[in-house]
Amino acid sequence: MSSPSFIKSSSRDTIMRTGINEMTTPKDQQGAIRLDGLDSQAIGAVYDQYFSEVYRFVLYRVGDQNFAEDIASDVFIRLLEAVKNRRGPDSNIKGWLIGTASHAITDHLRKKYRRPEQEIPESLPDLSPGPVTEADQREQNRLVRGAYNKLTAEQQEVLALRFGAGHSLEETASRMKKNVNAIKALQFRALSALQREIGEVDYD
Amino acid sequence: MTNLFDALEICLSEIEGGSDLETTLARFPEHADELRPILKTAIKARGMASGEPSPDVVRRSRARVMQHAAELRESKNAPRQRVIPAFSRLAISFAMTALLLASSAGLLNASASALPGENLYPVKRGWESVRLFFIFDPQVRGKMEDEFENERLHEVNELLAEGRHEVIQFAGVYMQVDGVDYVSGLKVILPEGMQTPSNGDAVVVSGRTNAQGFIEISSIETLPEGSVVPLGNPIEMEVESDSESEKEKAPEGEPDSGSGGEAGASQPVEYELKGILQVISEKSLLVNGMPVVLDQTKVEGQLCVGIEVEVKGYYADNGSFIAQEVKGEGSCSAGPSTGGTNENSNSGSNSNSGSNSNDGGVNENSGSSGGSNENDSGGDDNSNSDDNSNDDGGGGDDGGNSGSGGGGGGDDD
Repeated sequence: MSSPSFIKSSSRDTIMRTGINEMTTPKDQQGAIRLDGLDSQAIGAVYDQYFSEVYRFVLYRVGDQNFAEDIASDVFIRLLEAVKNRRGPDSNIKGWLIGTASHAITDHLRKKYRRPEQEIPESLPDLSPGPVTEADQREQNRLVRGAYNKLTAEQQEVLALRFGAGHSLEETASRMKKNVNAIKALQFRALSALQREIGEVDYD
Repeated sequence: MTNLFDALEICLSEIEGGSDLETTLARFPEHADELRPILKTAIKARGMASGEPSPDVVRRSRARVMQHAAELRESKNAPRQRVIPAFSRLAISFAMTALLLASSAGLLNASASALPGENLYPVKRGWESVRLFFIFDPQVRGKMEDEFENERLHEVNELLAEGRHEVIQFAGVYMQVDGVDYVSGLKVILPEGMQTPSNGDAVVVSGRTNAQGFIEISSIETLPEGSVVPLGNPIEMEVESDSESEKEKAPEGEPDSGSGGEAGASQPVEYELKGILQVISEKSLLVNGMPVVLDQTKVEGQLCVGIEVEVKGYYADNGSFIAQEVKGEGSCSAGPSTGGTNENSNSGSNSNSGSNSNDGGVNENSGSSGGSNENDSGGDDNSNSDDNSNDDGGGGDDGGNSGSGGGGGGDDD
């Protein structure tokens, strides 16, 4: 008789605990409070604070500046809508933004796969030793991009968070709802896989 | 010994801090070989990251976001401003509806005479529903529903007159006379084996019209007693007698005995037609959708569109109906459709009583036609249909009887 209610209350505790586990910063909380009235100064401050990070994260994942600009802007517009409908983040605006960006990217990629655009050429000129010129760098980036796109979504995510958004290990762990050790392993596997992909292309 | 994953993380941090790859690897000699290619890849992967977004991008995107915020603020504030004139919003929506209705009036006019199977017919029926939707007064609503039921009957009449095959449905009063089935005066053919309602039942029938002037019934449903259905004015009834017996039966005296006599001479069968006058022209009338030719016709009372008229006449050789006598009943000022409706329901209920002495009924009408319509109020309808008293062939029950009187004539056949 009593056991069901017991289970229920314990599961509620778990939910509450994970809620508390979400990283919060005082700055975020302030931002949330001020955002409520859609005050333009508060919105400007939030934007200036986080846009670069969101943009870099998105750009890393999609690899196209125009799409990155669109998606990153959309993420902030979604934030406004959410705040207006009282569904905005209570705390941790940055986490909310990156999470929303991640969803938006998934949507974008799904659309893109349905209507594929030009493929990144498979055979690329070999990397030449010597000083890395800008052209070489661009060429190399294309190579890496091609390999990166073959990674799993989770592997892409972890690299985008670490290298794109510049998240720390802990931030990345919080964002991906994993513990730090899992992230360490994940990024190791992601880089190994990336290396294999690049290697394969190299020898082709 | 440091875990491989930890070693990678440390190396990554150090390289990010500006350390050289080989210097970093030297700290983990046991993993160096394994980590080297991975760290090289990591450096490439990091190289793919962009720097800060360009000022252009930031400016464009910022403007977009801020503009959206402004729009949201407006829409958020807007309801607060509109709270006061919530009533005016209602008024606006009514005005819009009115405008919509007005703009579609042309279409509705065009659809007013549509028949089943025609393109505009759904518009007509839809509009009827709309009109009913906005009527809340049960009495007015009832009248309007009667009107629409009459319209159904009228449509069927038109279809039969045009000899068209269309699927139809309408309400009426069932009668069986001499093995012929009628619904509100229209000849119907019931399928074999179908259970027939009893005489005077209010029914809803579905079926199709045919070119022979019959309605082939596919289903017939008896309505509960007391349902008001159009009797379909009707209609035209064969007075099964020649003009002489007609005269005998009409002690009040056909005023036009002369013309009657002529008719009798030339045409052995005289018909009576009773219904709503729809069109008046110089040489003909349209009664219940049936053209009536005026030829030295005697006209009694006022004639105007919408009133009920009683027409006596005969069929000419060419098939057209020649009126000898037209009698307008009721005043022109009375609401045409309403009067018609009441009239019908009255006559419908009377026909329930089966055979009133028809000649009495007919004559009664011709005598007291003037005021009788005025007496038809909704209340009368009810009492009539409830009573079903056969006795009301007497003066009391006014012109409504005439329809059933005609029907009764059929009975007598």
